[in-house]
Amino acid sequence: MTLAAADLRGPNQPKNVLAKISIPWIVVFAHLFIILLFPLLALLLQAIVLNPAQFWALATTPIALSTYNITFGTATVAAIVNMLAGTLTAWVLVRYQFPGKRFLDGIIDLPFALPTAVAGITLATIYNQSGWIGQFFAPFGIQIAFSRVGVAIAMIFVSLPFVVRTVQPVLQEVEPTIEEAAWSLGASRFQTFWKVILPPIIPAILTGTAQAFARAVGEFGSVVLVAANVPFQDLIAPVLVFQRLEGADIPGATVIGLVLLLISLVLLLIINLLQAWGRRYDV
Amino acid sequence: MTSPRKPQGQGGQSQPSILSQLRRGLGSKAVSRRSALLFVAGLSLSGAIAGCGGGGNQATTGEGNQAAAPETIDITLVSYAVTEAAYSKIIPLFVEKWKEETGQTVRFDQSYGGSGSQTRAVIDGLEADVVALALAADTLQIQDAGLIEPGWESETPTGDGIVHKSVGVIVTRDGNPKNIQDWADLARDDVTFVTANPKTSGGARWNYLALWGSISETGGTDEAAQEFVTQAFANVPVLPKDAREATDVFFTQNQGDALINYENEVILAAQQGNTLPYVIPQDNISIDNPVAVVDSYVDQRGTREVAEAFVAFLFTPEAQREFAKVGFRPVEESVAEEFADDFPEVSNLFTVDAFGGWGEIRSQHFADGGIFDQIQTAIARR
Repeated sequence: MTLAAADLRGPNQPKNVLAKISIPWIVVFAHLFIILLFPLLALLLQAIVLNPAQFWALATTPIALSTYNITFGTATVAAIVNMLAGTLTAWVLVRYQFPGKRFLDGIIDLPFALPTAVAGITLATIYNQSGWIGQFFAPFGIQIAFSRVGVAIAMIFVSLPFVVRTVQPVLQEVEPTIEEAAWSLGASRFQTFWKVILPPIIPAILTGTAQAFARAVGEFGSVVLVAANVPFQDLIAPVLVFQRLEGADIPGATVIGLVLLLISLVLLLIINLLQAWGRRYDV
Repeated sequence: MTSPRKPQGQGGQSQPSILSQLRRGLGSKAVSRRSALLFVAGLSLSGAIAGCGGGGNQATTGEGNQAAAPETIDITLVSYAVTEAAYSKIIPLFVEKWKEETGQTVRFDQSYGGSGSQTRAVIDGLEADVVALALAADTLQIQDAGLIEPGWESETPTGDGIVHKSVGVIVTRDGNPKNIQDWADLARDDVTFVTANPKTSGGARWNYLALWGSISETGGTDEAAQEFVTQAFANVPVLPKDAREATDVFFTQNQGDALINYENEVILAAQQGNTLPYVIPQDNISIDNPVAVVDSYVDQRGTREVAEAFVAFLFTPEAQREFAKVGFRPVEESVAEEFADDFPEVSNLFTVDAFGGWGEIRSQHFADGGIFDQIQTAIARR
């Protein structure tokens, strides 16, 4: 009987295989494919019309090289600043009670919602030589807006929420009593932080930092407004892509885009490995 | 920045059919058409994907059935931001005239944004019947994409496709404290100035060419011109991506002693209450703004007749007067005489032809590794 049933199913085998693929799986797969992989594929296809020599020539012009340097260098600075300040912010928001805390907690996500052009204009206004903050640096010959510093600040601004929002829920799960236990056993504040609080939140910090870094590399709207966009000074790669497009130089734009993509993929891979290393503390 | 930027469809061939279906579905109200366009921009990504597999299924469903002579007809004008003030006056005049002549009501969809972005939008599927762009190089790009037939220049009454003109001016700080009078002053060591980046802003290419021509068109060699332009661009602290942003950086963010701008922009600003001190250098470039009918879209949509009539109308004294009022130098002679006081004569006025035309300019100056890149590399090495 069972054998007969199996035989009956035989011809319908493909249907059954399809039926086994659950609808959520199909939706996820289609979503990722359409939203993520297709555009990447299109980018690749546009680039392969060039031969490797042409590709290399377009990817390594002096201006292009300087933009990679500036983009990834500044994004690294922004990510590190957010890693430190973001972790601290998350810790304060979780462990301390103070007036206006809910408000502060609420506006941390603002950089996600604010149109980046608005952020750029605002930052340029307060950081230029006569702006609220810029005026205090101008006498020392420090220019913030329209320089690399301004670019870094814009990147810090747009990627601010990542570290805070990934670290916060993890910190919330770490019982304050564990910290108290550490103190009562004679650990110093530093030891408590280094050996008790930090290990469980390292993966979250790294994840948030990676996201902040990726966001900073890709940021265009606010940087283009706060930077001078002068090559070799503070011109970033995404702006170079835009310049190439405006000049109707599609291959040039594609090549820079692809280089950015490759570097980002490699960096994300490295960061993922780092996270795996950070998870060694997980029980 | 004042007007909404148009969606840049990436749907390629598949977009027109989506668009026309949508429009029909929405009963083609002007307002809903606009939101439909925006909606389609959102859809264009999926459109692009659909187009990937389907290849070139050109819309054969377009509703261009001219034989029936519909009561109303929609046409789309795609232009760049600063022309909006003029077109808002000109379009009602044309609509009225067309109604009198043919009994037909013309409804205009208008799209204003950066000239370069608008160009790409049209190439990518924004169905423009008429394009009025900042420079012929942009119109030529649409021609290269196969949407406009070559020879569009000769189809206007003036025979060159140019509907209005302007010249480059130097805007200074109040009272002109650095005493800037001419292009040469921009290369002085004690002067900084703001200009949009010619790599991102088509309009800023006029600025660059004005600087270049102030040497090459007054007897200097190309080497001398390159030396001068290098010297000048070394004094540029900020290279904003477009002219609007350059103006903002100069006024709001207080960067630079001077700003290269267009005469029409400063006249328009003065009309809006911001009188700017400016000088008009006597060796100057004629900033020529072209208009053209987009042949393949008008044929597809059956709007050729009205689109061509509209372009012809732009050259009539009544339309030219509106351009002059917002600061553009008119091309129609009687109107030019009428407004002679507003537009001082420039003694040495050169055109892009002096540089071999836009094709030559693009490949020599602005291509990757071209003269402008060399200039910027040279500045960085100083």
